[in-house]
Amino acid sequence: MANLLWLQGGACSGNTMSFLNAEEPSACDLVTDFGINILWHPSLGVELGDNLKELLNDCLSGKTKLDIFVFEGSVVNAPNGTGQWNRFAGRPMKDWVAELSNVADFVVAIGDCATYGGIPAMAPNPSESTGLQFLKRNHGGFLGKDFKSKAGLPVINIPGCPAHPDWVTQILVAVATGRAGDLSLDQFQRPKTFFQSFTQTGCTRNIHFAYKVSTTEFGQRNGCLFYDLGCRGPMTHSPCNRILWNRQSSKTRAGMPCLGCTEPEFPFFDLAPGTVFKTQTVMGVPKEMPPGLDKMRYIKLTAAAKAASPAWAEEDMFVI
Amino acid sequence: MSKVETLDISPVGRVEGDLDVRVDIEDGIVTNAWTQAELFRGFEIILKGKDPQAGLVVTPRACGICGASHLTCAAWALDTAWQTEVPRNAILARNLGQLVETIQSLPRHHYGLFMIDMINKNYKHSKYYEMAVERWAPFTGKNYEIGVTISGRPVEIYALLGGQWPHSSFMVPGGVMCSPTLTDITRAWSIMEHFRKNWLEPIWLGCSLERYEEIRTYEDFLNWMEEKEEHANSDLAMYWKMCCDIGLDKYGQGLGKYVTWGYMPHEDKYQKPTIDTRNQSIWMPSGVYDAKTDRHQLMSQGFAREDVAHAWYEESNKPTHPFDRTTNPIANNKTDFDGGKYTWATAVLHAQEGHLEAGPLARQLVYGGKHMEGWQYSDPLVLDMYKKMGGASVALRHFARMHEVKAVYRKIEHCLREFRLSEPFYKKPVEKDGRGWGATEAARGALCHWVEVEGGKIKNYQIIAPTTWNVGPRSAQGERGPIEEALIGIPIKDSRDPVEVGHVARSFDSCLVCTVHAHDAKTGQELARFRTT
Amino acid sequence: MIAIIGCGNTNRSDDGVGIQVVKSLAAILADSKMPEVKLFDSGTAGIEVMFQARGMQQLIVIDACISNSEIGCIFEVPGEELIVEKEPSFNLHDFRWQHALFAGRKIYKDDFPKDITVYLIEAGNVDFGLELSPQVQKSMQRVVEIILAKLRDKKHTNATTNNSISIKKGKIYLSQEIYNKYFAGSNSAALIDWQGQLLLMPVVSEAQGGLLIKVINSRGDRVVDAVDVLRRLQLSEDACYDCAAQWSTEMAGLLLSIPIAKPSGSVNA
Repeated sequence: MANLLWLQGGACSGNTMSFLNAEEPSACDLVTDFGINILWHPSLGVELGDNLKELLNDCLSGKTKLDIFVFEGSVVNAPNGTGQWNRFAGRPMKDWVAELSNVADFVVAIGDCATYGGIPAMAPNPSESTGLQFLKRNHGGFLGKDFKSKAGLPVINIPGCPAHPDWVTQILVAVATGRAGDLSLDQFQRPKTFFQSFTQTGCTRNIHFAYKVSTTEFGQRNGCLFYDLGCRGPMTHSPCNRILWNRQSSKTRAGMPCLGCTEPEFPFFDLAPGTVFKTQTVMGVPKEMPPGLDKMRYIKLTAAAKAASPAWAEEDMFVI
Repeated sequence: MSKVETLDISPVGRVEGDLDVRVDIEDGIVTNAWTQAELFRGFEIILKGKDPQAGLVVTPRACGICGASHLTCAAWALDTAWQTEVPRNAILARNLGQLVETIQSLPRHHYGLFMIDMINKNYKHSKYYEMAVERWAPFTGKNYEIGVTISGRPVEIYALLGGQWPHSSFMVPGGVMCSPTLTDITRAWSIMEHFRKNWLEPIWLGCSLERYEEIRTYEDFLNWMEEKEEHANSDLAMYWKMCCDIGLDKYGQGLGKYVTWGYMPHEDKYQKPTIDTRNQSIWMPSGVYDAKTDRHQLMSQGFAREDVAHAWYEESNKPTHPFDRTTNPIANNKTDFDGGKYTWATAVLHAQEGHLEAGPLARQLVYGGKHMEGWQYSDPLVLDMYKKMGGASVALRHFARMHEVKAVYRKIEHCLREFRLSEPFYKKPVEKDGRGWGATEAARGALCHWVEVEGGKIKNYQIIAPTTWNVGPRSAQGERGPIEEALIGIPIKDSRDPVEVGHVARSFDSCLVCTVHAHDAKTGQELARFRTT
Repeated sequence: MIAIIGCGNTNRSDDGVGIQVVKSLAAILADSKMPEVKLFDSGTAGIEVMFQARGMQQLIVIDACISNSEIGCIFEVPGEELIVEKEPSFNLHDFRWQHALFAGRKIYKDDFPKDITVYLIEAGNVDFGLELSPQVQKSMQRVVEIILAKLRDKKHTNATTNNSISIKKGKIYLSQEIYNKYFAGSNSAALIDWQGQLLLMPVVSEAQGGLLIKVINSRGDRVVDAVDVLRRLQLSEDACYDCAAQWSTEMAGLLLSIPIAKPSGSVNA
């Protein structure tokens, strides 16, 4: 039996909603099969008002053991570092977060906001939002870069806007079954299982990437979204095309450019005019390239690809 | 004179985001109420100066539950600003995305949020209690698991269109990014069929959807419940009978004034979208219904006002159109329930009618009117029940929500039938400056976005969410907000566990995380004080 | 292991045909040394099916039916078609085997057979009585033969393969034993359509990608969700395929033999 507490700060509930789509194991399976005891969750909790405060205080006092503390959403510090703009159960949410993180065996950040601050932390960051242990790329965040939970691990970050339900359930299962030690984390404390390969890995448009056939406009079944429409699939670490969304598809498969939402810079370029759904180029060469490529290699690669591309590559291959 | 007990309830869980409620209780009855929205974010500040399309990326993430609704508004707002042409297929794809998200929300809210209260210990005496535990207890109840699980299916269709749910941005000015193939469409059909055969008909209705559609009046409904054992045993009938048994049909009345923007633009009538022609081009009609005068009228964006008399903003004393507002939050937000300011939510008003309730009940009451065109959707049932039951209640408000499954299911079928796969899904627009407005109905009510593009950048972006209507504070005139008013008259059995307040709050399905209001200063100077150094 | 369960009321003539099938099989198999077969007379206790089938790989249910067909008609129906959830009611008598199958899957999950076949025999007479109608008697014998043939096949395949893996709804299920034997330590696997078979290869480095091998229960059974690959192979999402699996040292992966409808030769990264 592992006690789990799930709170939301500056959040949209998107990760909760995504989590409810989980299958094998489903949210119910986590409870009935893995013995995860959900002490409280903003969408599922039964307790109200004073009863909830009592429950939270019991976690702090140790009367109730807190095994897993899950946080969704950014930590709101506004105004002026007081956190008064996001109060919960009678006090700033950030105070609950600070204290609960210290008594929990494991702390798990779910989604971009909890991981890096996400959209709320975009300039000018009016809510003074930060992630639990990162603010964008900067290590530290709300809990500080040296933070370790009682079990000796830093915050386990599961970014994504939202995080895929399987990423969440598999991490919770690992923690609940005492296998958290097996998790290997990358520099952003993301489980490598999910965040070592690229979003592009497994994309159905890979063949068009290879032959440099571009999707020039939305609504085209053919082509790669990287060259013109600003797709970040080749530069983003996520398994979106190998662990499908809702068991059906992925954004890039469906024709929507990857926004890079598992990376700390999301939303990229602060959504400055001219950057949304448009590949940023210098003299026709993308400013950002798949890791390991430089401008010269890119030009050689695409020239060769274009020259070698067979006629059928330009034809619509996903027929209606 | 009896003693007034003041009760602060924070938070009323299970409505997304954090809603605090204060109630005065006299002799076990709520006599006064205040709702307080706690969370401040700042999407509008964030969007200022950004790429015009930034709203498509950011606003679906304002709410993880009705992201498709935000995306719909963001896309139509830009379409009207840029005066684009939107192909027929794209209108259908947008509508379909919106509809599957709404239908997903029905079992999820019902089992995951609303019904959990039915197993509260206060209802142990009810003859339905045992049945409720067996069916609806969280995680272990038989139908809880089915309901929560089945709710994941319709959004699989969203994933076919947008790659994933939630948080896709597949709708763009000029159309949609995807172009589904025949396999996608047939898969979508089979997903809906699964939804119908595994939950909607056997568990929720206990009869075919066709039979349920025959119900037109309150009497029809009562007769239907007793017609067959399957009907009587359905989750719908059990919900209704238990509600009546524990008195949920007796309180939670509210203001008696309602609003809907309408939704689902007609695929042939709205290919050249403008703000002014929207009312005549939507399948699900807009409207305002005032129960006191029993009058229906059309709704338009020009009527919207915001009043900050009791909200933490320092602005004009007069109600202002959202577009003309210069949002100016107070940094030191002190709670003053005694005639002062006490919430981040503004009071959203109709210029003539004042406070209005938004949500499925509002939609259904409007569908009972005669103010719409013949081809637009109408359905007399909920208005009939409303009149015969003497107004709204927790039971009826939630019934209205679940009743929508009927219309939404059929409209999904309509979209799937109407796609013409060899025709385009996107027509590249020309970017230009201008003002736009996009609206829709999220599962929980009226949602709209205003955008102003100037010099190729967002100059102003304003959002009015359903909960902004419902959770708003008193107006300058002292009229209570919709939820505040609905809390009046509630009998509180145990003030240590005020489940009754939860019922009312949840019957509105408030979603505070999308109460998007923040600073919109004209100068960087004013912004500076929000930064941590 | 395979469970063969007869259902019905032997006091109502043809209604007891399922029990008769099981009794005949018991007589025939008495000295045939088939320890992997479990015969059970469930009678009118539908719920027992759930308990008896638990932990089995395969389940055969035999029952009488009244479908207005010709008396003695035999129906061989995949379990998927008949499983239904129990409608709410106030007694347990109408908890039938079809509900038990539903409940069993729900409760025991992977510990419940995925391969379920139901033999239904159209009844003629269901009045009080102990005898079968002549047509039903004949059909009873026919079903016994069918099941025996099935068992012989099963024995044959069991002898040549060392493992069995099931594919259902676009997912490949790996038991904890198979996972530990071949995939231990890997969190993902590549699935390749290779010479008419499916090759499931453990992926060692995270950066290589591959499909996620998910833990699905506390025992440690795994599932690989390969919905898009299997869809491309045109495997029905509703059907359940039990396929022989063999480790190939040459390919460093588990070879699954399944009827591939349309080879496509592509690799899923």
